[in-house]
Amino acid sequence: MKKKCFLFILIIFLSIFCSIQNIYAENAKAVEDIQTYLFAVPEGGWSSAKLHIRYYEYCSNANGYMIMNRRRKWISAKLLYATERPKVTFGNVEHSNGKVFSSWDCLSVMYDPTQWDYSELYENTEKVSYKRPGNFEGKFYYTISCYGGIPLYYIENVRLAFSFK
Amino acid sequence: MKTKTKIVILASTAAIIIGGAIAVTQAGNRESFFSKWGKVLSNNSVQTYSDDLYAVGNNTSITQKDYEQTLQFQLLSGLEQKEAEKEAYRYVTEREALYYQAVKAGYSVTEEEVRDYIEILKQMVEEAENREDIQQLIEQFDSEEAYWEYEVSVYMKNLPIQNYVESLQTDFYKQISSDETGSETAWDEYFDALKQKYAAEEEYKLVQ
Repeated sequence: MKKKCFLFILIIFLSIFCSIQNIYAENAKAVEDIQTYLFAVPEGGWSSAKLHIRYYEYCSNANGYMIMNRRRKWISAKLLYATERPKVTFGNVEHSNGKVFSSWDCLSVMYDPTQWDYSELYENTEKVSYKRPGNFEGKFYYTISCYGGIPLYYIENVRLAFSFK
Repeated sequence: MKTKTKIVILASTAAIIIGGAIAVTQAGNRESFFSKWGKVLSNNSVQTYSDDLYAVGNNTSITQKDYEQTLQFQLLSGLEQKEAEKEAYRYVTEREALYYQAVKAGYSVTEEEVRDYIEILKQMVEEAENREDIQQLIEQFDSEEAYWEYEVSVYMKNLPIQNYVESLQTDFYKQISSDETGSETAWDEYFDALKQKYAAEEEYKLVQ
């Protein structure tokens, strides 16, 4: 009797554990890119910006839905210039259904100062859910501008796309 | 062929031609800046100039050649004459004043250091998003080698400024908290103000 009772409790415990795991196991989908941009400047040289751009979506599964719990955009930049400094600005993340995430917290981030001048990490914690199965696409735009240089700016975007069953 | 089908075919053909023409014109405009700018730099690299001065400051002077080149850059970028002159004046005075401050602070470079930097620059050109534009500029020189030799002469002056500005920026960031938002904008504003201050301290007077 004791053995049966123990097995029953174990099965219940494992079921609860698995279901919790199923709901809360969060995994990150990410895309990253490293790009270099050069701007011609009047003395005949260049102002440059080397950027490492990363976009993360943290998701989990629950009750037939894909839950997007939070998202991060992260940029590290190395800027080389004498007089005209390139500048990088971020746009908001937008999902393919038109949902825009506009509230961002700036988080502390560790980075290698020998490789990058600065690094900025932003997080948005607004939860959204999408019915499974389906396809996801999220993106954000960023601008690299250089007042006094040519071209004046580049507009680029980072896209993250994946399917969920 | 039915009239409706003919109209659809004609309309599609016209759209393709017009769309193509717009695309070619836009690409042409973008190309023209880098090729024209390359021609200006190529000419300047071989021409011998007199020592005519454009402006004289308390510690530095600006050559007519530097001013003319900067003015040509501004005109090619699409500015009107008056605006281009104003912007060229801002640029040459700030650059010269920054160079003076860099040298005063002990920043100097050897030719070897500049050639090392040029190798980094070559690598950046290889990786750059707009490498085709840059290639158009380089092609205006007699050879690629000639272009990079010209860049050595540019960076003999640029690199000390660059190293000086980098050290100023590092000091600036040390003074502010690492998680402070908007630090990039703060540095931009500080650097702009500093350039203006240094240029103003020179009290440049135009040479008549």
